[in-house]
Amino acid sequence: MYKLLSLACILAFITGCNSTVTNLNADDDILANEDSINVGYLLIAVETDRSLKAIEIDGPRDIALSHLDLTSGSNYILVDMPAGEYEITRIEINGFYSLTLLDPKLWKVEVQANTVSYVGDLEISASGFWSRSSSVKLMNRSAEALQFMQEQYPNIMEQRLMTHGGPGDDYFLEAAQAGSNE
Amino acid sequence: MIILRAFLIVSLVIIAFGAQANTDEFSYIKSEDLYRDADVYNVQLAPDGKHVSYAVRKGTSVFIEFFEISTGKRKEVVSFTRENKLLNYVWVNESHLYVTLSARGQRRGLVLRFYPSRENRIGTEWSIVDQGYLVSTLPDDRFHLIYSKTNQESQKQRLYKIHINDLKKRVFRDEDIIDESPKTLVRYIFDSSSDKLIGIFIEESEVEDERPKISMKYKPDNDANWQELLSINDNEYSFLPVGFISDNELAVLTNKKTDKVVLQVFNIDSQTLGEVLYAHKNYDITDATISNTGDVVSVEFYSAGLPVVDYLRTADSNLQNRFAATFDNGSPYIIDRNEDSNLMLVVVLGSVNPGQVFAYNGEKDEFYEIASSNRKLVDYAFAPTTSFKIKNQNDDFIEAYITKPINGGVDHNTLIVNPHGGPVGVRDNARFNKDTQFLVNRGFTVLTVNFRGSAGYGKDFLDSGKAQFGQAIEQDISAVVDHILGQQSFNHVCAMGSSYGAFSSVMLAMQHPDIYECVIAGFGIYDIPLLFNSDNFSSIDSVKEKIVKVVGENTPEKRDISPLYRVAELQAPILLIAGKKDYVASFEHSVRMQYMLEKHEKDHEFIAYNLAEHGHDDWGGDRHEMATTVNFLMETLELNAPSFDNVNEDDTNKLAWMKDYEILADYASRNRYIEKDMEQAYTFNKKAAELGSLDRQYALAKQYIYGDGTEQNIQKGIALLGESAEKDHFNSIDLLASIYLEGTYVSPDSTKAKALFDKALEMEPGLDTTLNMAEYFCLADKNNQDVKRCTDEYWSAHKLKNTNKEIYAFDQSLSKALVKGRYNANDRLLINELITKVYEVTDFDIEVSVDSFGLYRYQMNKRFGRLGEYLLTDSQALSSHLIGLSNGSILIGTKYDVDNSGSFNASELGMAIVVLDTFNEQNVIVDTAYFPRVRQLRDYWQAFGYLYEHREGDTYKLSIYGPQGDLQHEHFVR
Repeated sequence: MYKLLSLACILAFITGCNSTVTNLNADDDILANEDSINVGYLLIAVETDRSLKAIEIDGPRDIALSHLDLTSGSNYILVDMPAGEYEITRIEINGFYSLTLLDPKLWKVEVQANTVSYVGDLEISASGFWSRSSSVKLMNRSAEALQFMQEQYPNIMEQRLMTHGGPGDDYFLEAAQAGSNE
Repeated sequence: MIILRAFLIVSLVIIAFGAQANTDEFSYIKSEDLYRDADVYNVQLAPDGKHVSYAVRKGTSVFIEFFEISTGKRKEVVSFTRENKLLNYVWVNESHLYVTLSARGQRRGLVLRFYPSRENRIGTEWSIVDQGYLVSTLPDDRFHLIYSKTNQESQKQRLYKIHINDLKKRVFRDEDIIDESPKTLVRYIFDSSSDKLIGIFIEESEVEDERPKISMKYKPDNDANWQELLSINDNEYSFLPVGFISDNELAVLTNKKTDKVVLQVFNIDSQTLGEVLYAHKNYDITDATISNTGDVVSVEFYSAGLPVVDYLRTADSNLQNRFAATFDNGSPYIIDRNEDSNLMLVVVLGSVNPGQVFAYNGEKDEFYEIASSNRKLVDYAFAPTTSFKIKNQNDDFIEAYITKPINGGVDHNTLIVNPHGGPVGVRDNARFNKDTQFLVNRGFTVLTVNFRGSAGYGKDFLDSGKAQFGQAIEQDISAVVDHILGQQSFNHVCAMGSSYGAFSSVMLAMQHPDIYECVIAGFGIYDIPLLFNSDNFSSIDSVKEKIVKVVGENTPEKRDISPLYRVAELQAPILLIAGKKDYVASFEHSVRMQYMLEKHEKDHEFIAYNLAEHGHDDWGGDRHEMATTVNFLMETLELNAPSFDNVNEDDTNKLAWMKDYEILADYASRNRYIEKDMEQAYTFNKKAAELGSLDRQYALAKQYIYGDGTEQNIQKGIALLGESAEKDHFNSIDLLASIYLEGTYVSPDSTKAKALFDKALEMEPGLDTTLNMAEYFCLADKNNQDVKRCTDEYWSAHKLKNTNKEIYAFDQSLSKALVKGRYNANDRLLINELITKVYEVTDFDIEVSVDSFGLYRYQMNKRFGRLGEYLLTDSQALSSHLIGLSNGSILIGTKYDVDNSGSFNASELGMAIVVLDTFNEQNVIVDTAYFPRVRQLRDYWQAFGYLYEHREGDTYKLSIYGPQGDLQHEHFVR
């Protein structure tokens, strides 16, 4: 019941306060070139059955992710971000409607420096085209994410470990990468 | 007295009107006979005391049928289709039923009146009633019902005592309203034995994260206020009201004050428990019935794995004993009786009996067989399940059940230890179990165990299983296994289970590598910490609390008892089965497990069902899973499958195995249910074909011809096709005819092709065979080509096509004839005339210019989910796009323009045909797809196909033809 928490759409005119990011389509470990050591990769997947404009994530750097950030041919978004705690705050449906994620506890994620922080698969589903309610969940699909990164970004994964950046504790990635580099 | 009792327990006569065979002779069960919906359900006594009614499936429809007890005659009363699915029905009076159905997903009620009509038939008339629900048929009032309907304005439920005729006409009068619900009432219930109105209320809590309060209230009389019966805000104990035993007392099933669930008095005024009416020393009481006068009629509980009904009235008890002496294939239970108890409905259930229903006529003292729940199973012999007990380390009795292959059946002397899911609050029993019977039928012994935590043995026993994942639970199972192994020596032992049973099976194999030789784990959990973290809502305290109650606190130590983190210890080969849409044991558990098995190079197979949740929602999935399981066991343990040499084609044993291989081959051949694997498909096609499956022989022939999943061997493929065509296999005839006509893999032979097409047309006259004939007359060699006949056949076919699938088939066929045929000018005129008639295209002098061709990706609209567009990829090389092909993200095709270089008329239609040939590694065409496009000239043109089926080494050729079949462009994609 709680999992399918339904959030009412809130009428809101969105102002462009979040910066856009550059997604990493090429398998180049750009962290190796960064001056700052306090940077990591954020990996998130988006699964939705309704049209969306952007997903806003606030933290050390406020960003808005859109379809343009999707890794080609997948529903993953991989971006480089300053390390630190972030919160998924809002999902913009269009210029008029957005889903405001009300409980900060549920939407806190973390980017760890020098790693690929997988924060989860954001699942958004609406009950109908004109529906004003949606179900939003952050699913933990670490194993699929790890397989995706190892297949699509072998260079980055040779240099970096993937870590759990979503809510709660998870030990799988550590076990799965035991014996890997770093 | 003793003599009298002995006399009474003599068995009764059964008068069987149907064919109820019972056999002791072994035969292999066809999985499609076992895994299917029950034929008969919802059996009820009619109020006239002369008929029994039931719902029965016949083909795709469900009928309500009446069985006349005096004559044994059955009469169909009404039928329901898939679109109007029967959910339930109840008798209102002798001539009316209230029926609930699901009409295109919407729940609807209807009143059905039936009456005798000519020729001893039953006439019916039905009335759809308003959207609401039936609360009671008021058994003591023939014409009134209690019906709840929500008032649109107030959104409150209004309760009517309404005449059946008013309900039929949907006349709801204000004066018939007997109650208007408070907003928090979610459901009305009427207890006809006490004449009391009861309501289920749900009140949201004002405290954040606190569960809503669920309560049951009643009205002492119509004008009184709602009074609380009980509220459920604590699930530490069970509490189930059974009925009123006085004005202010209920009989309830509860274990609030006791270890076992007992039948106890509950005082409504004081909200306290009183006298225990019935208790069992070892078992929880599961049900009870209370008479109209408030007396306890019977109680139910499971003993030795079977439900037992203890009748407290002597007469009932004697009758039950007589019934029990009558049936040797299960235990009888009275499920319905009329007022004077002269007529009873009795269901017989047992480990070897999936369910039979009988009517018992008290006056004549005779049984009448009404139906078997699954008529396809009546000719099979099933294996009985034996119950036994041992003591565990806590000195508690552990009940377990063992089912062994029957005499005359195959016995691999292999024990399958099969822990149940849950694990807390769930149990196994000794009733008929499909999976157990299937495995036993295939030669395996199945052991199930009600380890600590299982339901039915009291609160302490249940609680002792909590937080014992991978520990005391597996100790109990192992104690039972040791006991069995002490009695019988098995050649092999494997563990198999679903959900928690999967977890347990893996743990057992890790803990006892000396015992277990293989593991089958389905829909399982393998990572306990992931239970607390499968999504972000799992971290909510109330959700966490529920998980903690079953598995204990989430500590890093939970890794030590999670199979995922101990994969290195697993020595036995494992078959991992999962549902991609499983949200109970999330799919992630299985993906993680597979990752770790791979990492540790463990012998494993992984099957992920694309459409399955926590189990299958269609029988095909169950059949495939069990066939996969048996195949895994046979291969892993190196057991021999039965040999069926020189056995006739209709041998049921051979057919059973053939069907198993057929479904294995079918699932492996396409991506719909599981990931396609043509090598697997080859293995199973071969096995099925060897046992006589013509469908799979046809599929095998295609694999040889195309070199798909096996080395190409055209000669072998054509020979196999010839064999199955000889045996009148339609698809084989059809394909072989096309091969001879086109000469793709053999020398063209129009005569052979014509003979085969004629045979096909004779077998199945219709659109497909008409199209075949049309193709033949267009594409045959010069001596046999007859374009007039070809266009006539196409025109006939055009008039036959109706559905999208048929239109597609027509377009494909005509496109093929257009681009592959060799025509003179007169022929062209005939063909153009046909195209004009079919597609309304009048301009045939057009020019195609290609804008782009090659590989494309679908680019989502900038708003997720909106219609996007196809963008040409930056590289034309297939090899650079191999990743991503599996999910169908790559398309192949072209964007082009069509123009008539002469006078331009924008209202005219043009036509172009894009042909996509797929070549395999040996440069053989393995597939050709046609994309005929008819559009207004100078409109936007494109043709794309997803590369779902792409295999390494495949290359593609795109050819674009004008409406005259003139090749204008040709491009290769490699």
